Amino acid sequence: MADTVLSVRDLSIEFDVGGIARPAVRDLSFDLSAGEVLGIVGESGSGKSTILFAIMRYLADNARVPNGSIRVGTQELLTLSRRELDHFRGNRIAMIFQDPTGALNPSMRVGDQIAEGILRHQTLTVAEARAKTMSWMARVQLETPKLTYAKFPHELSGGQRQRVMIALALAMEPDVLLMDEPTTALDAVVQAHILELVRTLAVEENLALVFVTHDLAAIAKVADRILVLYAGELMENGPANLVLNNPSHPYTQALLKAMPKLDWSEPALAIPGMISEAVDRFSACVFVDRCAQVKEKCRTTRPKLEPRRNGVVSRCHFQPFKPKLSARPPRVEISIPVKDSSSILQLNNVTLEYPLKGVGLSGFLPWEAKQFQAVRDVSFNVPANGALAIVGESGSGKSTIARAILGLMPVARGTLIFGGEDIAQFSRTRLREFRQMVQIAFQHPTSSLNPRKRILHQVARPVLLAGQTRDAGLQAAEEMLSAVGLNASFHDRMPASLSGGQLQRVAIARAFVSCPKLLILDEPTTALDVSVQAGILELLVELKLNTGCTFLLISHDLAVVRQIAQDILVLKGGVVCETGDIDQVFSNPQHEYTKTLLNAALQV
Amino acid sequence: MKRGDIDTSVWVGGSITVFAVLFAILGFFWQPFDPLMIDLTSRFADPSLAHPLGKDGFGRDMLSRLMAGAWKSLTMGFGATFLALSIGVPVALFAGYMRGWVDQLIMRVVDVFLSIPSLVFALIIIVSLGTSHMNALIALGIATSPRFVRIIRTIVMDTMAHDYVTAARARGETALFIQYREVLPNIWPPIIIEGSINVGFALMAGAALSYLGLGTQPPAADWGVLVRDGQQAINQSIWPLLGPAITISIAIVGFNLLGEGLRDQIARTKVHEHG
Repeated sequence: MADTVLSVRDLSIEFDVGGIARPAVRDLSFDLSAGEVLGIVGESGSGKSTILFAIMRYLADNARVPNGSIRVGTQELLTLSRRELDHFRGNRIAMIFQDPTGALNPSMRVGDQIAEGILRHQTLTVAEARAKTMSWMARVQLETPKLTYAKFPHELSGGQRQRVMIALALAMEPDVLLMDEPTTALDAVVQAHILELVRTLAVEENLALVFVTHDLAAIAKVADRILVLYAGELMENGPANLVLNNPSHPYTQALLKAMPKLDWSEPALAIPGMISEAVDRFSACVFVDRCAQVKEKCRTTRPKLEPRRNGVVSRCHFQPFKPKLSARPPRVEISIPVKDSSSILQLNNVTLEYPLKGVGLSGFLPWEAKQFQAVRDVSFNVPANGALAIVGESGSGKSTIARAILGLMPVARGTLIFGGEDIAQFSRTRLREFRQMVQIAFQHPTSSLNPRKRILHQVARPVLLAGQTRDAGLQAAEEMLSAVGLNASFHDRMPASLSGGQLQRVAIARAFVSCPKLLILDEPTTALDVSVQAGILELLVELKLNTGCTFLLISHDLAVVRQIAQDILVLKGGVVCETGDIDQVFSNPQHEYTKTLLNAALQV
Repeated sequence: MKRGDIDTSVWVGGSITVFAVLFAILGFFWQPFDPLMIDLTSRFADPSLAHPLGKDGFGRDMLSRLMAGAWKSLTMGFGATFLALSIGVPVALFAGYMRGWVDQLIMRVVDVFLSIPSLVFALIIIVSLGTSHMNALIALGIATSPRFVRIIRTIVMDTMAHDYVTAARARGETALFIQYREVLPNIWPPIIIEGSINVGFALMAGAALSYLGLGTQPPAADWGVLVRDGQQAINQSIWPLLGPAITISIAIVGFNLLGEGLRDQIARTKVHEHG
């Protein structure tokens, strides 16, 4: 390449865990020139963030770099002294993280935080630094820079904070910008805007940009080149359109197939298994135990990086496979409307309010209490045996509705009708029955299970609560766990030893074990990798077909919604925008906001 | 620091604690001499091989008295803390679970008690209960419990925010199940840490009460009584004061090192897990 800015050669990184060296990255090489965006994509545990930390020279204490080199221009980074590093970081390389809230000082005005960075690295007067800050805030499209300058981080939205972080990083005019999942925590519409901004700025500033994410759709929006990483090894590296449209490595193919499609042309397919440490890295391909196209040679010889057409390199023994069509039949069952005409749950003009907390006693006294309306005048039906999706950005009130249905918060106005009866009028016994019929699965797998209880006991609990014997409960839990694909070895394990996808399966088993009539799924796959997400979606569809349970799916991801739901309800600011059959809404959206959401939904 | 490494202060504090407990248990069953045996021929004898800490004004062996007193003092430290936890943990779980005005009411009452220094609070209770070892223990337990309520309630509230608690509420678990089966198992580490620091404080406060004559009554002696007796005889010999005073100091330092070391170590492990 013409002017290579960042050059990584044969980089290996390992972590010393209890005296054993665990490889995190192995023999990684890539180049990046000015004005070019490199997307690094991989599942959790693939080592993608480790690479960024290595470039920043910010690895954990137990990390070793046995070989390799990282150069910015002509300067070798791995041998820099502490003092030289201080100069290098910020001036030449900057990094942006997933969570802008944690990266900003909560007690300092955001403008001052940007100006502080400028003053630290450039010889400018305070007034000049302020002016520069303002101009950068305008460039990252923060409205009214003057007003925003004086705001504190908590007064800004997540998207605005990420814009501040971008301004902060770029104001120091670095050559290399590293971004670690910068848009993962943002809503779809905001994410689309930030990605656009990143793309524009990279070109305008002639930046060498490394963009790390697990989301192929996000990478498709920004990257010129894509590097696919698996278990710390480069699987495929090449121009973005080639890698995405004509992947040469089976792993890339599998990743693309795992993505849920907005047009529902084909179902998302899970990649079986998880990144394994058992594979012998010296005499086999690291992807051998999950590859759909594995041959004998893959088990005995480690593949080299082979050049393919048009500048693509691929670590596979074999020439590009024709993307093989799935052996499984396409999932048509769910598209047949199995929903009844009767509705299991009905919301009539429901308004939900949160008390606004004041300082000290104010707002505590009944006559001073103020309410925030999270949901206003919402009405909808959940058809029995159907699947309704509630879609909206964070703060739209979608989770609040779930809380109200579960009886975790009072209904300010309106009625909730379950099976023909008003929930508010339930007797104690009826309420107990209702609670068994309505279950919930949450977004964060680590938070949804008690860290101090064994898996089997957590799953058995709803059965015991229903008054069954201990043996019956444990047996039901065992059956349910095997139904979600977790064998007996998981029964006595603690949640900390499970992966995110496995935890989510346990949570789903716990929700299903009492044979609920209605299952509320609150962003069930948002915290998971695409490959794992596809597996969970498959499982949910399978359980739905087997049990006939009604789903109420809450999500911000239209492609995920598309995999499960038959009906959709679009919510914005606590008000219903649009509701109807999902095919009709997707193909012919009526409300402006629905159109915006559909436009912002990223697809490869 | 690598995971698995034990903090120096945990190591030192833990060793002192274990030693103190063993010393007290040994002292409960056996002393080299009868701690109450008076021998007026050897009043204020200096340390010797047979009597390594010397003798007091009645010619009683100081090491034996210190060992017998260790049991009294440590039961004071552990017993008062146990009582404080038995009051503080349920109240904290209840307040943190209920939230709203119930929580506000409980916490304002706790604030009132917290505004009185623990030792003064304990004195007030002893005045109404009468002076004895057991009453001093009860008084200290009650007096230190508000602090536990305040600390543990915050942790309960954090834990309550987890989805597994929401799931338990959604499936209709009782309040007691959620408090004691879902939340409590997850808040043991901070309870143990604060408890360990409190043992040190109760040990010192118990000695102070005995020093003032409000705790253990002679001829039985805990470390506080020994310090008072030793201090009164300081013009005759320094030895009857020196042994108990140094022992108390080391024990308190030990419990505090252990608690604060554990706190640091847990904080570091958390950082490690997230980073």
